[in-house]
Parts: sequence; structure tokens; C-alpha cells
Amino acid sequence: MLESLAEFAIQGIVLGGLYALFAVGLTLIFGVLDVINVAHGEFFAIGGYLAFAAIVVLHWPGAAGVAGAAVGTFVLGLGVYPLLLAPLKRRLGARPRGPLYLVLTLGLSTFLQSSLLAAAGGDYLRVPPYAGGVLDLSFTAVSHQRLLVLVVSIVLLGGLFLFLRFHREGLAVRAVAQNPDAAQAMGINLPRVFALTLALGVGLAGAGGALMAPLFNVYPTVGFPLTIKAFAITILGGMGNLAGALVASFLISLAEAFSVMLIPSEWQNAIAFAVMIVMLLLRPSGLLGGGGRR
Amino acid sequence: MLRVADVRSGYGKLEILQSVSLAVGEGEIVGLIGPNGAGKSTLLKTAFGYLAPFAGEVALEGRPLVGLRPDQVVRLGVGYVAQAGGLFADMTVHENLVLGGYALRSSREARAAVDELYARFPLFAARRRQPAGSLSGGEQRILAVARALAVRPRLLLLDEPSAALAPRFIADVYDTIRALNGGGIAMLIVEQNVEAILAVAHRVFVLDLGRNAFDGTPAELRASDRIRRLYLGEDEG
Repeated sequence: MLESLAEFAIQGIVLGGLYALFAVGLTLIFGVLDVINVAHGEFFAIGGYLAFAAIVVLHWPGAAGVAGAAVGTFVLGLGVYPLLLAPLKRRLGARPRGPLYLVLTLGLSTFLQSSLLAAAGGDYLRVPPYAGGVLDLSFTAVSHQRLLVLVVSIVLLGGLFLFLRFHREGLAVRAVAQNPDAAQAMGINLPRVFALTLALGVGLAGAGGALMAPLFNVYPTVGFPLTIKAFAITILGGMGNLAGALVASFLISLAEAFSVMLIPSEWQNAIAFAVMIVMLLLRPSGLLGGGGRR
Repeated sequence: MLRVADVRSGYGKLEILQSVSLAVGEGEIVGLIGPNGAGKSTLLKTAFGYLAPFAGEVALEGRPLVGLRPDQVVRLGVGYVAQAGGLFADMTVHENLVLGGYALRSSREARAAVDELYARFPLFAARRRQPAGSLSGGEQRILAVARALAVRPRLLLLDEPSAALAPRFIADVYDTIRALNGGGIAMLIVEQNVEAILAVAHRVFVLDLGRNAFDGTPAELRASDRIRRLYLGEDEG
């Protein structure tokens, strides 16, 4: 029994690393731009495709492939604000119109999925593991690939938190999240920060897609279920609250992992959304309080 | 230094300013007073680039400001302190001051500017790790002014620096304003607290219903029966 618990805990923690990488980026974008990026999962898929292209087609080393995929999605992300969101914002004026942005990113999501399908086909593409072998913990074994996902996720998220805490551009991102008008009075260029934030958020998703490619395979809709799950995580953690998203990612992943012991595995996916619905009904501001945009 | 000529401005299609003109000279404190809804804050926001005027000119030392964003106006040497300060309440005192120096060219320059601010306002050096929102109201207002100084502005636009402050904090804020003006910084101050602004201003503009209603020195304003009655709330006779 204890061995099973430990095994599920490890599975949950590894999955939590991926959820965190994904959900923290989504939350960052929401906190700063007030936009729910429905296309987040497609950048996860693009990260997978870029990793496939780099590692399988171009024969780059795994680390270079993952780094290239992260940078590639970051660069793509840089274009999303100036090419899509800013023109809509200019037409709408200063008043925020959340539902329109939601529809716009939903359109982007479908456009990217269809484009990936047209360009690469619907086949499941396999990327070889970046790290072979397993870590034998006597009561259970964890593949080095999964551990790699966890470690790289922690490093990337740690880097993001350090950037937001200490780098002047990171401080600018937090300032815009808290008070965009006051941020402008500091000399902060809002469109630049919006573009950077979107690129950072989707860059994390792209890195996740590249890291997970050997485990999930790569196909056009691979990221969409993660987007939906990230909504649950974002609501559980508090909309726009990065620390909340981090905590909620591991809570959801652990809940999913342990639920297998109690209920059939086909119900596993329902757990996250049951938690989300209960949370919305009981504590809509999330676990760590109100939409603390930090 | 700052010239506002025949400006019409407002929010969306709502015109608040219906042709307002004013000027702020080098090293001058200019007070902007008037009843609620007169358009005082709208004028400040228009001068700083938050609002694009429907018509008219705004210029700093002859250089047009219309069409520039606030982050571009800051780089021309204009600081803006919003009503209630506009601090990043969840961020520390230090982070607020570092952000004040964001428009400077390098991180090194920003660090030097923050060190200067700590030397000038030692209170904040001792509280650098404290969230800005946990300071008293008066301290928050002075922190907001200090933060705007990081880029060494030549002109400060202050929107109701005494709003919602206890009298002893108002005195602190205005002592700071006097000291900064002594160092040569010109200021355009929107204020509801007429006595406080008349005590420091070199000139005063009164706005009413989006138009200029008076322009003169504090002494001239006090001498005008009509203005005293209408805007200082004093009884006739």
C-alpha cells in the first residue's frame, strides 16, 4: 500500500511539473493581458513539432532540440500581440472586451491546429527519449525521461520566477499586471511588455511540448486537453496568481494520480474538472485568494 | 516650459475640456483648481499622453507632446503622480523605486538613482523590503513623488497629492513639494485642497465646466470676490 502511494505520488509530481509549466504561462498571460489564451495548447504542439524537426529530421542533439523548440515558440509568441491582439484592441478602444479576445484566441487555436494538420499530417510523430533508462527506487521505478521533464520544468519555472522578481523587465511585467496606467508613468511601453509576456507564456508551453514529445508523441491536437486542464488549474490557483497556479498544478496532478487508487482510471480526467467546479462554487477567487496579479 | 493651448479633450465621445489653455514656466509651481467635474484631472492626463486631445496643442519647451504615449513623455523629462499615488501596492518599496528608474538607459543608472533617493528619503531605505501598500497614506504619497524623481524630471504633474490624507500628512507632502521645487523642478498640481495649493503655488488656474475661469497669482485669486465665492466656498461680505 505504501509503495503504491509513493509510486502514485511520484507520478503525480512529475505530471505536476508539466502542468505547472503550462498553467503558469497561461496564468501569466491572463494576469498581464487580461486575455485567456485558448491557443496555449497549440504552442505546446508547435513545441513538439519543432523538437521533432530539430531532433528527428535535422539530427540535432536532444538538448539543442528542446532549446530550439522553446526559442522557436517564444519567437512565434512575440508576434501574437502585435499581429492579433493589438489591432483588435485598437478597434475596441480602451474598454476591455474579454469575450472577443477569447473568441480571437479560440480562432487562433483552430487555425494553428488546422495548419499543423495540413502541414505535417495527422500522424502521431515519435521523438526518441532524450534520456534513456530508469531510476530504480526499489519500491518503484521512474524513467529518466520523466525525471528530466520534472527537472527542466523546475529550472524553467525557477528562472521565470527569478526573472519576475529581480530583472527590471520582469519587474515591468509585474508592474503592468498590477497597474498598467502607473506602469506607463514609469516609462514602461505596454505593447512591448504585452508581447514579451505572451512570448514568455507560450515559450514555456513550447518547451513543455518539446520535453513531453517522447512521452506523448506529437500530433496537432496534443495540447488542447492540456489547455482545458490548465483552465481548471488557473481557477483553482486564483485567476492571474502565478504562485497559486504552481500550487494548483501539483494539487491537481496529485489528485489525479491518487484518484486511480479509489476510482476507475477512466474517471481520472473528471477529477480536475470536479475540483474546478467545486472551487468555483465555494471559493471563486481561488486557493490563494483573489486574482492576485503578482 | 509646458504650454497647453485651446485643448479639447475627454473620454470616448464625452468632451470634458472645451478649450483650455495654460502654461507652466521654468521652476514654477502652478496650481489647477476648480469644482468637481471641471476637467482638472482630464487636463493632466491629456498633457501626459493618457488621453489624446480632440483638438489643441500640448508642447514641452516647444516640442509637441500630442500623439506621444505616457512612456515617451516620461523620457522627455515629465513625471506624473496619479491621484492616490498609483503605487504598485503589492510590490516592495525598493521595487517601486527601481521601477521609477525604468526609463533610465541602464540598470546601473537606475541603481544609482535609487541610491540617491534613499539618501534623500532615508525613511524608505529602512523600509525597502516592506510592501508599498503597507506604508501610511502620507508615506505612500511621498513614495509616489520620490519614485517619479528617479528619472530626474524637470516637470512634475501631480494629481491631488493631498487627497484623502490626514492634515499632518498633507503638511509632509507639501514640505516635500516645496523642497523639490527649491531644487528647480517645475510642477503642475491639481488640487481640491485650495489652501494647501495657494500656500505654495506661484500661479493658479481655475477651471470650470471644462473652460478657463481664472488665471493669476494666489494673491490675485484671493482678491477676486467672484472667484472666492465660487471656488473657495467663502461667503459674500
